[in-house]
Amino acid sequence: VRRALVLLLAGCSTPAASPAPPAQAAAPPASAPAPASELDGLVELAKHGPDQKEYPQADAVIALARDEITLGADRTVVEHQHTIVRILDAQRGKEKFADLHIPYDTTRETLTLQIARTVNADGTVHVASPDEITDILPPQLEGATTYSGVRERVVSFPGVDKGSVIELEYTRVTQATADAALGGEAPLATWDPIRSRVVRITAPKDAVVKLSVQGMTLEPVESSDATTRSYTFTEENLPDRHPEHGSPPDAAVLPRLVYSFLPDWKAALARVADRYLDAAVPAAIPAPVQALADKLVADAKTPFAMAEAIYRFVAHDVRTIDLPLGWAGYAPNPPDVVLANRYGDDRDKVGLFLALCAAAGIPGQPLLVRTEKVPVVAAVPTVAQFNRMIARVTIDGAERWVDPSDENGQFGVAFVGQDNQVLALARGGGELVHRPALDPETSVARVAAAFALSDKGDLEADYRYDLTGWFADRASETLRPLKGENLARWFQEAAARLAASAIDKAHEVGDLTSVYGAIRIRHTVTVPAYAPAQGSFRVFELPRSTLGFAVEKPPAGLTKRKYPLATGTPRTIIEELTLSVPAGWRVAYVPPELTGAAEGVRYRTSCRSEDRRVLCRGELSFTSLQLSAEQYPAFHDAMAKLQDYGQQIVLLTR
Amino acid sequence: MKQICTFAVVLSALAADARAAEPPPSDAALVAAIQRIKPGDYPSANSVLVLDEQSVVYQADGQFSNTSRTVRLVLSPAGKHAAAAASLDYAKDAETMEVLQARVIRADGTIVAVPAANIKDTEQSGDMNIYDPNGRSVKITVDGVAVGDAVDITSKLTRRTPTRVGFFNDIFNFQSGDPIIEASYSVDGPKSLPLTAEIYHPERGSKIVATRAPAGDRIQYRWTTRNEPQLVPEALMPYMTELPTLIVTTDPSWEHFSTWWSQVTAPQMAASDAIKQKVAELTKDKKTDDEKIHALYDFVAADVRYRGLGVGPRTGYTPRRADDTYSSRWGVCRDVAILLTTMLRTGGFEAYPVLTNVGDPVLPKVAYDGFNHAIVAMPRKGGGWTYLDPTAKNSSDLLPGYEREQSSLVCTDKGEKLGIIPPIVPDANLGHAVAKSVIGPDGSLTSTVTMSTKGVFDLVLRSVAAMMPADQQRETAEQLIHGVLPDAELVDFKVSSALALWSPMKVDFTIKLPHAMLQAGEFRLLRTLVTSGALSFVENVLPQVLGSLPTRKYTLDAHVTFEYDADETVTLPAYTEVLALPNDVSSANAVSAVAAKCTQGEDRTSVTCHRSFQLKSRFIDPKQYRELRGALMAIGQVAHQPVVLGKERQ
Repeated sequence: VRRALVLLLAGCSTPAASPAPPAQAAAPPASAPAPASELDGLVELAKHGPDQKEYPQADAVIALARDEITLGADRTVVEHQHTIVRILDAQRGKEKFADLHIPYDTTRETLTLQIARTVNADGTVHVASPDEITDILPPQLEGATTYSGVRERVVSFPGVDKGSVIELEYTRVTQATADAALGGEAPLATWDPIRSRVVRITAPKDAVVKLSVQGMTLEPVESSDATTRSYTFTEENLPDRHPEHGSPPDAAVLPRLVYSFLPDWKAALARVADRYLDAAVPAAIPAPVQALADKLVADAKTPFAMAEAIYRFVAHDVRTIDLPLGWAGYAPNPPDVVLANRYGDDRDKVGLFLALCAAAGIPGQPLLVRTEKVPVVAAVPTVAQFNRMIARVTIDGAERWVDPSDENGQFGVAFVGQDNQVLALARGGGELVHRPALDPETSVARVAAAFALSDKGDLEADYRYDLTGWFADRASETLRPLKGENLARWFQEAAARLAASAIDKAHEVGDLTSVYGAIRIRHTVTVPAYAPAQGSFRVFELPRSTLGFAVEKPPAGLTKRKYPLATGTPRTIIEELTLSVPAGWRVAYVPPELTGAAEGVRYRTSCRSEDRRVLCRGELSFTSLQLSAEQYPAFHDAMAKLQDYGQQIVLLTR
Repeated sequence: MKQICTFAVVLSALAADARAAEPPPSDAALVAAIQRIKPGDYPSANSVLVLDEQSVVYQADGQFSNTSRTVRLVLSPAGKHAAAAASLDYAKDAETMEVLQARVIRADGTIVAVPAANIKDTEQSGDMNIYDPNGRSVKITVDGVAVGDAVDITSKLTRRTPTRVGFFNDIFNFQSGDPIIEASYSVDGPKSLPLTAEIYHPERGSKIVATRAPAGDRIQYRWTTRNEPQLVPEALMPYMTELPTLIVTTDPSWEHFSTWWSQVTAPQMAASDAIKQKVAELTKDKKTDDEKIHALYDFVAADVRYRGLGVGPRTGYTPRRADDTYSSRWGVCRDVAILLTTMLRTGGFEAYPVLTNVGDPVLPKVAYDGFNHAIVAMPRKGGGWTYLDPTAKNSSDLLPGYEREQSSLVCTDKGEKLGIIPPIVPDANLGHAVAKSVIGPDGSLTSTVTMSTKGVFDLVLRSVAAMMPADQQRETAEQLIHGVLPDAELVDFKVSSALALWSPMKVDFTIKLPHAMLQAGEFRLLRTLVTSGALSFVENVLPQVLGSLPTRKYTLDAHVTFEYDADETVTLPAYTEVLALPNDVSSANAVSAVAAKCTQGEDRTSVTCHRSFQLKSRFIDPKQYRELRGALMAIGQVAHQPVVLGKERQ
């Protein structure tokens, strides 16, 4: 929550890094006394400001959130932020606002605090002391200190309580380096109510400014002076709102302003494309890279097999540094360096993959993508809109999208950047193109389960899983680190999904390093007294899958939604179950056939009984990445039907 | 009941001709040792610790240095991650950290040094809202690690400012998640300040050889072991009390440690005028001591947020001044404990700061710096203590249930023994769901449920409620209900105020199920709230959390004792024929008790169901675990059994 709030309080997303002036050390805020009238205003706000009568569910009310983003004549970008918040809920308000994190890149940015203080209703003012202002290493950089100079400045406000007013004012200056995105995003709303939201974008008169408001209609007021032109977006009395479980990220849900100081995508690409490709895929492939490529593809008979072998090496043998794109700039380390290091972030791993492909004669291209279905706005050209990099290779005329940073990934199934605009880099430029969503058939979990019930109610269950795409990724992520007794322990705990008495009898796991085709897993479980008789009845609950990730479904617990539901990558679950009924019992009921479809889902399940066997088959496909609030109720109803008790049990009678 | 098996190591009885600190193995010997390792001998491991050694030199004033060397051989791709990066934390105002050697020993025996550029001294990341301006971390990134390589890192931590001037203590674990080929811990200390040592659970690993060798005015101590098996952890095992662990200390007693912290904290407890004023304000309308104590506790618990500056020069033992914590309204446990102690004393009560642990208990035999939490104690009339934890937000108990059965050291000037916070009866941590359900003529079910809570259940519900606005509380409830009853309509939902700390938390809700009875051939299956599992915290959650293993090697730490009950009365339509009810369950043992029973009313128009589960002990040894699992299995078998009804009749 605290880091999410940074989006507003720390303003715009301006990734990138490159050599620049040294970092300014953390410094206490200038504590020049504020004009009495200003302070009086804050005391008045603390005394009589909006309260929980007005906003009964809000954590706090943001009295002022003002961002001024200015492009200088020398292309430096100055972000000046001023925020005034009144805490309304003692616990949630403090949790969100009392300790704030402001990210900045020490290699190319300076961050200066002007004001960090708390004002209470009795008129006391607590200025944050040097002890209360600290720079920390962002957790993402724990394993990547050789990569990036990004830090977070944590400001802890003293004396905060319900009703307190906290005021933060700071300036962050980004140098005009080659990695400067010259653009970014500013939220136009938060989950907490805002009384006054102002975003002002200023640039020299001769500079281009591209602006797009997403998620609402809002026009700027233009103004100018002798040398600059400004666009001011002003909003008042924005409502209190609350996030919902399963929603896409805030940037996809809440209104935002996307801005750029570049005229077009050509200009945006000109800053990164050649620099990236020259470093990642040099005209002369370095000898170690060429030698490795030759070795990797030596036994491959087709271009597809070659690319698969290269992907497997880069995904598995080069450790992924999980760093947001831009935190270390856009130019990668040379591929021979990445190969020697055996670690890399997105840029580096995509670069090495493409260099190896080039060495093997396979054409490929890097792409910048935005994750989690946050729409990329085509009208605003800036690389700040992208947070990951993947690759595309062309094999026998067909395009294959790959994510070498996914250490558990499958060749040709890149999950990030689906159904969105992606920025393809090419020498001399590149282009913005639309990447379609993956077909649900690219990620299939096929679960074949044979259940044998004894007369005492004991269950023998034999599960066979064939997992591709997203399901294979999950299997690899979960199981690859586990060996021997640790793996056995995991399967025992998975068996316990069925009942406390369940015992893992046997488990076999196929090749988890496979990057194509199905990963096969077999799990045999015995469950004493799984379905004891109730007199002459026995209700047999169809046992669920022991591997939760093999049947993972989007959350559909809410009846209706205010915001979209992120349903994850398109995928298909096929379950084929057989139940052997003990002698002396007859099948009185099996789940009825159920067939249907709604936006985002289609399903077909049926069961039948033959002699003392019950056979069930179900196929469930999730067909989209996201459902709107309007589409959701039909999806909820479909999922409720599938989970209905009548679909879960078989009734046996003596 | 906690059962810690300890074996004292009496150093004075050890052979005096014991060898001094061993010279490090030559590179050739190390490479040979690595090359002798067969991955097939370690089927559960992703890496092997070829060498895990620490060499400590301490002085009479408590300053010390610890030179640590690990050589980790990578056996699998997953093992590369652990080997390829290292993080060495230190506090710059009290310590220095040097990397003496960082290198990779390749599978072919070649040795490559980690370049200096890959060793960075950085800020720390600030876990748990603690941001230490003096907290630093040396990060080592190792290039080109492949399966078959070994990463060899030697670092030296020097403590300039000891935690306790004139004393030294340390902990060394002989077992880890990796198999260990050779582990050693050696200490060089002054004769004037000799070590006492305890090894806990030496029987759980390879033989530990201890030696002691006087050398002039120094004594050299050494403990070594070889071929230590890999730890395969069990869920909820208390690592501290279950593994082979060495404690060395010069602290004479727990009483001495208690006196020391009392003296460290005393100067920080001066009550400022602002504190005095606040205490007077908070207690002025309170009539009884109990009311006053609760008022002071409530203020500190609610108004002071958890935020820290880091460990400080005494590595975590020096609290801020009570007045600083009061005025800034933030602090970590020791700061908040000192503020509450100060306020209680200002209010005329006898109160002391207490060192304790959250999680694993402290090893009790010898005194050492093994605490991770601070609370407050007030003497009870007739003996014993009342404990208060002011960092426990939303707790209607002065001490939350999960801090019971835990080691505690009350810190007084005269010094106290290490104690155990007494256990609490299960029904002090009670969750109780009562449902009144009516089956309509159309087969629908309308149910009104009241969930009342005490102790830990109150704390959990209150904390969830406190962190969510009303709309989100309702949405969360709807999602939980739909997990079991997907077509249920949440008609009404009300949660008591989380802010009213001294009123028990309660949830009331009404749901409607349009089709509670499934027409299954000639029969109808009725799912009520209890029989569907909608209220089944025990049946749905506990088997996987507490009972997923058939047997255990290690003690299970459930962290709390508790009781959960669910009761439901279902009114049926007239002329309903009940053919079968869920089976009965009843069993009790030393650590748990379980009961489940449904009965049909004499008028045949109602069914009443009751389920109950008690966990009577926080710590459950492997033998008791079988009994606990048996109880969980028994209730699991009836968990979702429906009521079987005959055909609908007019």
